[in-house]
Amino acid sequence: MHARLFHLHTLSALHCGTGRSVGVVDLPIARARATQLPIVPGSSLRGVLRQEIGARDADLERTLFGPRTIKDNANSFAGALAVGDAHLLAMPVRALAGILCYVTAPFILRRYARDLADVGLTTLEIPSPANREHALVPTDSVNLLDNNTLVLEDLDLGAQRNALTLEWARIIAARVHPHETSGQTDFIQRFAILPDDILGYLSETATELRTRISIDQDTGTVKKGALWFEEHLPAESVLWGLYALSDSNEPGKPKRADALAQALPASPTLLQLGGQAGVGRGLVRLLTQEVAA
Amino acid sequence: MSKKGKKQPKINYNKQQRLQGQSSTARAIPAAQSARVQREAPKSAASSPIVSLEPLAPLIVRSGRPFDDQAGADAPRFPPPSTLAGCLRTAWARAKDQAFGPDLAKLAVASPFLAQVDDTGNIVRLLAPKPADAQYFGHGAEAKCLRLEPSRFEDGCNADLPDGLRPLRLSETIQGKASKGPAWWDWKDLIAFRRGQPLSHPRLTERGWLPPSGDRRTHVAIDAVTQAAESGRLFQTEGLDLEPDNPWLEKSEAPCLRLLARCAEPLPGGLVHLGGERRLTRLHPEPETVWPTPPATWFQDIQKAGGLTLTLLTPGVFQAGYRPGWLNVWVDDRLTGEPPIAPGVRLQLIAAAVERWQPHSGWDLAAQQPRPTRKLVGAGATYWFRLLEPTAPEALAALWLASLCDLEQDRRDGYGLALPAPWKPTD
Repeated sequence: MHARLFHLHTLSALHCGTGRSVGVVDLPIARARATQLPIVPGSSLRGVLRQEIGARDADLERTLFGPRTIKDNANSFAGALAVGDAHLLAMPVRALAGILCYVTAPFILRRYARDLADVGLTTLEIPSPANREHALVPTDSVNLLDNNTLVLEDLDLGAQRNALTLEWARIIAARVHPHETSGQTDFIQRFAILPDDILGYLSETATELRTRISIDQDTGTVKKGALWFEEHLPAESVLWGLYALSDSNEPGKPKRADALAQALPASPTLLQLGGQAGVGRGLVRLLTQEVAA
Repeated sequence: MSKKGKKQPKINYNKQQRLQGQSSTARAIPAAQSARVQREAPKSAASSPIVSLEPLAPLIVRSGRPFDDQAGADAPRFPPPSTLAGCLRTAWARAKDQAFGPDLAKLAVASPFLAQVDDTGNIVRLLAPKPADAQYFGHGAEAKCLRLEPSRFEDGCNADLPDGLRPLRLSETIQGKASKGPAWWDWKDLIAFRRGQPLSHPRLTERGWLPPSGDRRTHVAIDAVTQAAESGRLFQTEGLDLEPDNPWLEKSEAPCLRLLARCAEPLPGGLVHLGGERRLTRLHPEPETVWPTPPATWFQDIQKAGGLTLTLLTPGVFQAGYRPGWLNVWVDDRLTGEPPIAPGVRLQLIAAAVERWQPHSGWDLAAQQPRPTRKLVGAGATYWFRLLEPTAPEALAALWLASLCDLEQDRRDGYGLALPAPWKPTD
């Protein structure tokens, strides 16, 4: 099986939870164990995709995901689609100039470049900031104060305009906003490569933390004990991941992986991922590479 | 979010000390670039019988224990040889368009070992499971790694050891309790240990690997009609993460771990499924030189010493329980035998260091039924043998990383791969 690339672009705050509280946050988001960077577990995306595809084409759903219920062994088979976790590629962070800045880091770009190469796409050299107090921005960034300072949340960093950073911004923008000039322009002008540890720090402290209460219908005041904190990955975040398609495993219905890839929903697909759907969370655009081709 | 124990990055607030950024050269934003992909064939190295496997997410390998009302997630488990064997056979069959059938099980696989790679993907060192005759004591600066050796009981002492085995005793007396240490060692450290050299605990820790706590995920199933959680469909999985701990990216690129395997047929690169949840793993063909080879004069040293140890590098499964079934001839109250893989090498079992047995089961896809539970001898188990006859080094060489198991299928699956090493019997 060959790797295939997908991107997720969040249109509203996204909450893929863990089912367990951490510290003062009652409902934290899922994070990778080793790096603590936000992820969208592959299982979350797979379930939503199954429903999306099943609503249009029940046969394709069976082929891609396997039977919904397994009555006996004779009728069971493995689905042809495997979806990996989606990893954070760029996260919007509040900036003093330019409203927000899409930040990433060399650590993340190294992994992204490896996956790009894996699916047969060309990659560039990865620029690194000079030290822990500097960031790299594209040559036409709108995020700089005094032309040399990038202020994100409560951190101010020295910033250098850099042509290679511009190229990386273009690569990501072209994947996330295909055929959309304004979206690409917005991303390219507000992109930055931060030192690894600062990105790690912001990935913890710059996510959205929303405080919610529940109102008692009879009294009109807050219910006792109904105060909680939810963490969200902010809107406009970009994630990427790999998926793979094998040939169909359904007995008597042979289909090649490439044919199945073409049968996937047209990109970009609008999906609702994660929890809190009733309050508008989790709207994402799913962009698969095959459809962009 | 709680920030206990978390150092914030130190930011230099003195703007005079900052480097001047390059002047802005206003550039027009280019017109929208289409994301059209000229889909080339993905880069893949030539096929190779030696492959490394890089899991793209934590590995889920269950013990085969049945689900019950009390069962949470299974503790993360290092994949047993049969899991890797099935994965690689499937990969080979898919690459060659072969049908899945009983004949596929004849494809021999030797795995899994661990390999550490640098950030360019080159293998920098191999790791092997800690031998069972190495014991950790003490904590911090006092931490030590001591060796167990076959010896004799004091006068008046005895035990009900089976098969005339000698007891194992520590190489030095130590006050204190057993402690913890790395479960995997650098391959060179294992060879040094087998040469009788002392090893420091800090060195083993620095170069070895202790599996991290599992990556536990909680899942719910959503009812397609009601869009609510299905009743009784809340469950957890726990995966083994081979990625090094790097919270908040505070470390520079730390070396990552991959599984290493050898297959009888060359395998191409690509993605494969490994373990549960159909999680993806990247297969990298590797040069054949990365597979471990015996040090120079290794088998001559075994011949001179008149004895050897066999250390299991993968879990073993034997019909006689803790020991291989080919040890079946009694001579002077001692068990002797000749391994079928090394004809002419007659061995007498002196002692054994075996950890607690491991349960192993699974689902037989061919027979469509559960596999019977079997008891595995854990990797790292060590057996001490005396050579009963002078043996040519060429005959001993057949033991190198060969399987000691009794059944042909277990040998093909890669169970019980043994590392022979010189040992001088003491009478």
